[in-house]
Amino acid sequence: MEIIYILKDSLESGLIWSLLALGVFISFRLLDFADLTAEGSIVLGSSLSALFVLQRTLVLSNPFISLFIAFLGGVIAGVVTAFLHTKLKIPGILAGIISMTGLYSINLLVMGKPSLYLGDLKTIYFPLEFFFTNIIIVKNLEIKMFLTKFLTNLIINSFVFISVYWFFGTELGMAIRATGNNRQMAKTQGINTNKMIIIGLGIANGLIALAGALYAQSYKTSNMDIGRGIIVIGLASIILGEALFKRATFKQWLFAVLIGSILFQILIGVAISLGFSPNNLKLLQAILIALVLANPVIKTTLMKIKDKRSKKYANS
Amino acid sequence: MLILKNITKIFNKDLTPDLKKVALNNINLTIDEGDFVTVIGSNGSGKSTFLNIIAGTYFADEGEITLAGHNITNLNEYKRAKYLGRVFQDPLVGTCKDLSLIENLYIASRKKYKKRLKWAFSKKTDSYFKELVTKLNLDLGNKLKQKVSVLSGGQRQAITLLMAIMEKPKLLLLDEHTAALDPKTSETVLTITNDLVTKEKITTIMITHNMKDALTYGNRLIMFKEGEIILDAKKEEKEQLTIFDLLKKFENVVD
Repeated sequence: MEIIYILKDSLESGLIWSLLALGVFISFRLLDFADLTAEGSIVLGSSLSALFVLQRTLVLSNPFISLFIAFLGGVIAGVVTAFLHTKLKIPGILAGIISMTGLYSINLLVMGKPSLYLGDLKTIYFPLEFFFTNIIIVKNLEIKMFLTKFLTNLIINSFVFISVYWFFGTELGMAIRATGNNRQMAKTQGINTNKMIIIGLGIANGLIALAGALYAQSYKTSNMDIGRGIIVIGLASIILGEALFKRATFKQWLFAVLIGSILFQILIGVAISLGFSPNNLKLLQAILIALVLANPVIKTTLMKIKDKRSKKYANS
Repeated sequence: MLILKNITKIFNKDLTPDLKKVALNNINLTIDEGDFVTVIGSNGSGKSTFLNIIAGTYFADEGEITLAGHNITNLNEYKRAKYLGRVFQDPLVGTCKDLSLIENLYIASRKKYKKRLKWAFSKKTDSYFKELVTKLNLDLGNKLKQKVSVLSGGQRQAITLLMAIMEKPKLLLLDEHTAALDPKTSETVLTITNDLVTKEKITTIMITHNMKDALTYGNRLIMFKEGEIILDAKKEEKEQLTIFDLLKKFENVVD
């Protein structure tokens, strides 16, 4: 029975973290920019989204509009990092750390306190919940909630992934990919590489903030802690997807990111059910990432040891 | 066409005088439309700096560059790219390895224009680019949708060349673009270069370390030494030059 619960939870959360992974994918993979802004922009997304549900006095107070505002907030955070890097010539990692640090205060300012709870307020899941309560009636409460969350997240994911696929196939999107892949080539082909980094990081952080907003809507809470270690989760999802699926075309690569995110959540679910506390989990994730990234070095070292041994045997 | 006026470039300017390196010393040069100029010189003679200053990789410390009537002295590398085509020594630099062949070609075809939010591909673009690469005779017609990383160095260099001249640049810059290839591939790429350049009548500057190639191709030959032009042979004068003459010139300067 437990495995079904794990699957259910990871499908729900996987479709939230897939947007995070997509953002991390754009900055780390497409732009080749190790962007640490993510840790701040995801909290910015969740707090903006929670705020725009809670503050009934705000003009645009609406769960769906809150997603859009969270996205915009993330875009601004990404643009600031890109500006620090391209115009003020601050190294990429440092630029990300500066934004992330600044965002900590901004996020506290947005929320007014370390965490917000949405309680019974309407979230983006309301329309489908209404649908399954009144039109196609699903009696079992758990199945109803699962269907509601899964389908809503799936619709948003489909929209985002298709948009991203389309965008990176446009002239502008290709120019961004060229900038990340080979900056000298991009300049030679008349591409304003600074501008492309600004647009690319903006979109990446917008998507990461959108993941934060979905988190706030789904778990009805926003707090300062959800950003911690988020880049590792994003990277792990990407690497898992890349390891399992071939990525000969851009479409396949995006697909690998999506499926990788869900599979990674299943792995985490299994680890927790095996008795790992969420606190130890971060260490496990960190070790896992280090191992995967060090894989080429480990492989060659093992080969060398093998070679030495076989030579020893040959000599004796 | 291309006019360089009193161009000087000094590296390590902030260091002590003995570490200062004068890469280009007051260069004055005019290149006419349709010229195919070959450039030779030993390592550190300034020939690469000369090309990089024209391309905008570095800015000159002094002097002025005019290209087809535009003063490009202070123009950013990506902005002046619309007047230029460029092929590098390293075959990996000219193309994006993780983008497909057709995506690379498409980017080159939009070099002079604003990058629009418009889906790039259609059957029409497919057949257009297919026709273009088929002309290279390198059997690339069926590899359009594949990543450039699967192509060989020679193929990548030929593609870079194609991309460089696709939008008819005012000036084509070739920086020892066959030096990293094996002799046979090098020969092929040079032949393609010569065909394309003469057919499209593109003004070209080609750096080479091969004196034979420098004599075979082009209608003008320039030799650099210690940041200065020590030989500038045009048309008939160039045709009468021999490798022996060039070697003598090299040695003379050493003495």
